[in-house]
This record gives sequence, structure tokens and C-alpha cells, in this order.
Amino acid sequence: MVNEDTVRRHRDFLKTFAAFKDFHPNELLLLARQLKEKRYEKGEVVCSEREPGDSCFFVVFGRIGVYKELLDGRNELLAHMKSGNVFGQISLIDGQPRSATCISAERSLLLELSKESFDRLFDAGESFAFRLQELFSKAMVRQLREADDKLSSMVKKARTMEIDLNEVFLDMVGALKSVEELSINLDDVTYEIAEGQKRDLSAKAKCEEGYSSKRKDTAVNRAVKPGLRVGEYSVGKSELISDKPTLKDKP
Amino acid sequence: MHEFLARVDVFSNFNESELNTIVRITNRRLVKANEILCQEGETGDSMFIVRDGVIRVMRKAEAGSDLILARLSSGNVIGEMSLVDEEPRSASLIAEGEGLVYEIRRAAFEDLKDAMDPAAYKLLREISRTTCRRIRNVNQQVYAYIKNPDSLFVPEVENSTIKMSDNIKQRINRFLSLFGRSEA
Repeated sequence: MVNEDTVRRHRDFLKTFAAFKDFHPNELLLLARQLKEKRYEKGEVVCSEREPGDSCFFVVFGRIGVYKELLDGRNELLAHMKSGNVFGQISLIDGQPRSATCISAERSLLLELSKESFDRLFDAGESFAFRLQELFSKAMVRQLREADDKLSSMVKKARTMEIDLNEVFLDMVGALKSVEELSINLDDVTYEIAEGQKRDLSAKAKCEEGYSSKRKDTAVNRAVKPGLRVGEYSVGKSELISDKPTLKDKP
Repeated sequence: MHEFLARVDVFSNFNESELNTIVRITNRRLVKANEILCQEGETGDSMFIVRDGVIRVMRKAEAGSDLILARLSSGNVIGEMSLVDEEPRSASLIAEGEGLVYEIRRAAFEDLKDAMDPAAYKLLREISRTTCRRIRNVNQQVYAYIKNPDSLFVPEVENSTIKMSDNIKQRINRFLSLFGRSEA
């Protein structure tokens, strides 16, 4: 049986969430009734990347580290969830495996909302479930846009670190961003070169001439004829910096 | 319109009365060739469902070149995030020929929401499922990159167009070599 005192205590905690400031106390009471109290000691795992998950957590107190596993098995710390934060909404909405591992960094108290409870209340047309859905939708769209920006800036950074491919590449980065935002299949993306500039790109002979030109023997200069233009973009400059091996250099 | 929308993915879980509600707030827009439905950079305020014809999703590159991100046809949905927030459009939508497009405007959608209409929230929920999938995708790419900084998507040159490959794992040097030589 749910203890009403506990439910009210949870409700009062939810009231302190900025996101819930427009919710009626009775709506929050309904929500509080669905929440399961979960206590964690320092070092305990709340959820694991790639494991099934279908709930989200409201942090009452404590601190939860969010980690993503890297190739070498190390876990990279992405963020800390603190009092007033919510995490795990993505699995709550789509029921797919967890995308990160969450470990309690200190004694923590969480309130867990399961997909089952949420769906039941949503399907029953409970207003707070609708409003909660709206909150989650907004948070997710924001998260998607942030993730997009992160990806774009990483790709851009990679570009300046490794090569200098000028605007074409930046356009590709922009395209990648749109691809994510608009849910477009990368295979469908086409880069149209303006009329009159096509010959520059399709000029195979020119390219090979570029390859064999007696430029300094850097990978970039081997690969790109300096000044070759794609559309209005100058692809390759004589002062290109990278000296990474091209595929051809590989056995 | 009713029957058509029932077959569109985002509305596949809608019951009759919810569908009717959606039909009520949906505008029919007949488009002419080259008509611009929305412009890159403008604040988005509607989502579109293509009924007939082909809609190009374009992004401006420089010097008269354009990136064609997609060609949408009957049943495709685009711009749905505009119902959730008020960010600028990241691409333009342009009709390739005559066509018919259904449009749901944010204002109408918000009225529904304010009335606590289940159809509005159901749509919101479907949008957030799509968003979830995309967050997972983009995060995957971010971490693929962290795991292997050499992994980036690589476009392939085909005649006068550059075709984006979905293969983000290839070395960026391949990109260079594609520009520089035909037999990389």
C-alpha cells in the first residue's frame, strides 16, 4: 500500500521543480502516487548503458554521475544529476535500452517513474500526464539540438585540426546538422554544383595532374590539386598542413 | 484527408475522433512549381505532410550551389519540431512541381493543447518518439567520433554531384583522395 504521508512528501518535493511550477498540487499528487522511492549509496549503479530500461528518475537529493563507455572501456563522465534534475526520459518515452550508465556519486534519493505508469495515465487522459509529456518533448528537442551542435562543432574542430577543406566541408557539416534535425537519410543528400562549374569537379584529368604536380610531398598536396575548385570553393591550398597518410599509402 | 492521414506514421495510433481533430486543424496547401513553403533561417511555425508531388529540402551553400538534403514525396512529414519549439528552420522547402501539402500550424496546435485535447498530446508524444530516435543517432555519432577521431562522414563524388555516404567511419583522407584522384 502506498503511504499517503510519503506521497505528500514526494509531492512537496516535486513542487520545488522549476519545471512543475505551473502544475496544480493535485496533479503533482497524482504524479507522486506513481513514483517509487529509490535509495542509492555511493558507487551504486542506477542504470547501465545498453541494458533495458523504461523509466525516468527525479533526483531528490544526492548526486548521480552519468557516464558513457569509450572504446578502451573507460567511462567518460558526461554530467552530474543533482536535486531537481530528471534523467532517463528517453527510455521512458521509447522503451529502448539506456544510452548511458548512471552511478551514484554519493548517498542519493531518487523517485522513479515507470513507462507503464506513465503510459497508463497518458492513455487515461490525465492532464498532468499530458503536461509531463509536453515537458519531456521540449526537453528532448532541446537535447537533440544541443547534441547536434556538439556534433557539428566536433566535426568542425576535427576539420581544422586535421585538414583544411574549406567551405565544401563546412557545408557538409551544416548538412549533417540538418540531417539530424530533419531526420533525413544521409544517402539522399546531394550536393549540386552550380552550372558552369561542373567541369572543374568532373575534370578527372585535372585532378590527376594535381596529384602528379611537383608540390611538397604532403598527403594533402598529393591528394588535392591546390586551387581545384568545386563550385566556388577552393579545395586545397598550397599551405595545407596535414601529413596524414592517404589510403593509397596503406598496404 | 482523413484516410490519408490515418496511413501516415505519426498518426497511425490515432483513433477516429483524434484523427478528426487533426483533420480540423490541418490546412490544405496547393503548391506551384518552385513555390517556397518555408525558408531556411525563418522561425518555423508549422509542420508539413506531403500529400502529392515532390518537395525539395534545400540548404544554401555558397556561390549559387545548393545542398539538396532530400526529396520528399507523399506521406513524408517534415518540420514537426516546429510544433515544439520556435527555432529557425535549418533548411528550405521548395516544391519541385505542382503538389498538395498538408500543414499544421503551431497556433492551431497550441489551441488544441490549451484545450487539453488528447490529439494534441498524442501528436506531441509521437514527435518525441521521433526525437528520441534522433537523439540516439546523433549521440551515437558523437561517441563514434570520441572513440575514433578519424571517423567522419565522407562524401563521394559522382559526376557533377557529391553524394553523401552514410558511412561516417571512413577516413577523411579518402575525401581528399576522391577530389584528387579517381582511383583512390
